[in-house]
Amino acid sequence: MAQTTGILNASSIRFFTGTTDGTHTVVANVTECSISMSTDVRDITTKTSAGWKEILPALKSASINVSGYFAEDATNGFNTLVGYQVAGTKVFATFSNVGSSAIPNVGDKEFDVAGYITSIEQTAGFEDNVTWSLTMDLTGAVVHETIA
Amino acid sequence: MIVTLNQPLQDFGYDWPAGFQVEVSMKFYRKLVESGHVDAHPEDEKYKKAAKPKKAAATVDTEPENTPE
Repeated sequence: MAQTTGILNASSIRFFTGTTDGTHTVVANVTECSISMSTDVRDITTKTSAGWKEILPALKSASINVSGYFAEDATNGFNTLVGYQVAGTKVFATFSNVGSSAIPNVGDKEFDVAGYITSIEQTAGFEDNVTWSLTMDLTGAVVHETIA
Repeated sequence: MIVTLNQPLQDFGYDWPAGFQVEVSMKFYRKLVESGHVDAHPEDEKYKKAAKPKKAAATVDTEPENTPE
């Protein structure tokens, strides 16, 4: 299958987790997910920098934020995820394009990562959906690879 | 990839019965196909190629050569 062309529909991006590498199932009832990466910098500015700050890249880090609706009986939903946070379980995850066809988009890119759920919350107002959200801080390299 | 298990899975931290339907990542789908827990999707190019029948072997004439009497 060829790489998808054009601007992607955000609903095609799914978040999968598992407790062993490569055995990920989709997180249920997700409404929004994002992955962010950043690079710290070290200042190497000197008297010879002609008045302009000079930097070099330093430590890289990444995190994932996910939110969704709560369902008591969901497979791989909030109840599973809060268990990971309480137990300090290392979570393996993919942030992947599943597309609209029966087969995920082989040829497109996905993120393959691991980390720990460092914050998770459940919110319940009145006469509304119960919702949840989490932050997963990633450990090790972020692998951005082609779906095969 | 939404898959349906054709046999129970009690591994990788999961305990699912046969017939259980779940959406899995592409890597996990491939593992499940390899272990026989799910059937390969008919549109999956990887297994389509593998399932192509081999060409029939060329017929070999096995008759003994004529020997001069």
